[in-house]
Amino acid sequence: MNRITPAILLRLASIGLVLLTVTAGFAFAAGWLSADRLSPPDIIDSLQINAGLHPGFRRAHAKGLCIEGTFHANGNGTALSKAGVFAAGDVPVIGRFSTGGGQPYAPDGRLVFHAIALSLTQASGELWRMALDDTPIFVVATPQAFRDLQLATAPDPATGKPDPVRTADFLAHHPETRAFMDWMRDEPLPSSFANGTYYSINAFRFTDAAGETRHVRWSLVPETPFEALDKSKLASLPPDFLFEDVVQRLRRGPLRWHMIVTVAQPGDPVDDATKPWPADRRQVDVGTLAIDRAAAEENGACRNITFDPLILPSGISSSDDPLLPARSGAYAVSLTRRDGEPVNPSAASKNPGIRRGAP
Amino acid sequence: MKPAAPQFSLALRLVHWLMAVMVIAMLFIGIGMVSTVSEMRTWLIDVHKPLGILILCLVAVRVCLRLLRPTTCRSGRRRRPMHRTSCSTP
Repeated sequence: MNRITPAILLRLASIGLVLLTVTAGFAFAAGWLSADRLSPPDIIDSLQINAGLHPGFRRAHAKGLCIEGTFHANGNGTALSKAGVFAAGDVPVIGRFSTGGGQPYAPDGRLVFHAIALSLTQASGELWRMALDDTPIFVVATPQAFRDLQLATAPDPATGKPDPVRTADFLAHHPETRAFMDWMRDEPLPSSFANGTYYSINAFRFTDAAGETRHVRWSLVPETPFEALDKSKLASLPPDFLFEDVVQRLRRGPLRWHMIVTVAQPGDPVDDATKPWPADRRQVDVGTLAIDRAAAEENGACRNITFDPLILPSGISSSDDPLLPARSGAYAVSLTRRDGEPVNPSAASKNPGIRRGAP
Repeated sequence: MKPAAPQFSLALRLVHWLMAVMVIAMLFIGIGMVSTVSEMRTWLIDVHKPLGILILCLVAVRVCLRLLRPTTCRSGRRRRPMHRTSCSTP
């Protein structure tokens, strides 16, 4: 055994210092030293606090139905983006209709917020994933505000209802959320998944073959004529009326939407999903989405897809909107959690009118 | 008496230490990218993926280097093919 000399102590101390530095660096990188760093699990935790824990289901937009179809590009999109999906022709689509919120069995009358999520596979094999809502603006501008909203509107265990003081306090600090709620209250909402317009929520960048980049948003505009939902009768509607309706429509034939790309002008807000763009912006109809099949999630192809809006083909990329990396991270955490949980039957599979799917 | 350490070629040693730095960097990048919802997440993932592929390529380079230029023992003798991991003591 060697004697412990000052030289050996010095060497041991240097080794210790290196280990300590590396460990501290790792702790810093992991965010263990930054209590206020918002992580993807923080977002998902706030959704679980708001909606309760429903094992095996998505933490947001928990109630849904798998759909499939085709995107037929007319070629106009190639002027804006070099993505192969815009070259004239067809690409297969797997998607999902859903209602808002984290409760997989809530009646549709309570979740009038519609959404469509799509995964387009272009000829090169690259994917374009998107999750669109039927509102042109989003309820909050930042991930922190999203989490705060979930917590502020979570049911109080004592009453089963959100604490009105906390909700009012949140709204006092977030006029953009109040504007969104006013919009939901005042605007006519679509009566069906089929006649809703769906919006990309966030801005993205399109890059054309010449390398020119433009900020865009896009929407899916239905060929099915708009009909407004009677908001006064929501409580008396059957619990799955939206899903029953769309399955019955798909049994009669495909449903179509035009993908309309809106190009921003310099100065338009491209990093804030709560701010609409002026109505006169250049719009390009780049093709038609035709949905022709539907299946309960148990029988469909959409169940294990994360509709992560940052899974993009070359020619489409993220904007500086802070919601985008948060959506990407949160969707991944939601998948990881539900993938490790027991599977429970979806509302669609429990409903005899929907279970068989369409056609 | 400790067995003599094998002598590795300069190229193998360079690749080894390059990979050591890269693998440790990957740990930091990996834990960082899953810890935040900020734009750093996107940026770190964009580094994480190509760096991982590069490390895989370096593994292939390393295997080739090792097969092309077998390590030698300090004595200068090449080791017998079935005994590649250590040198016999002379």
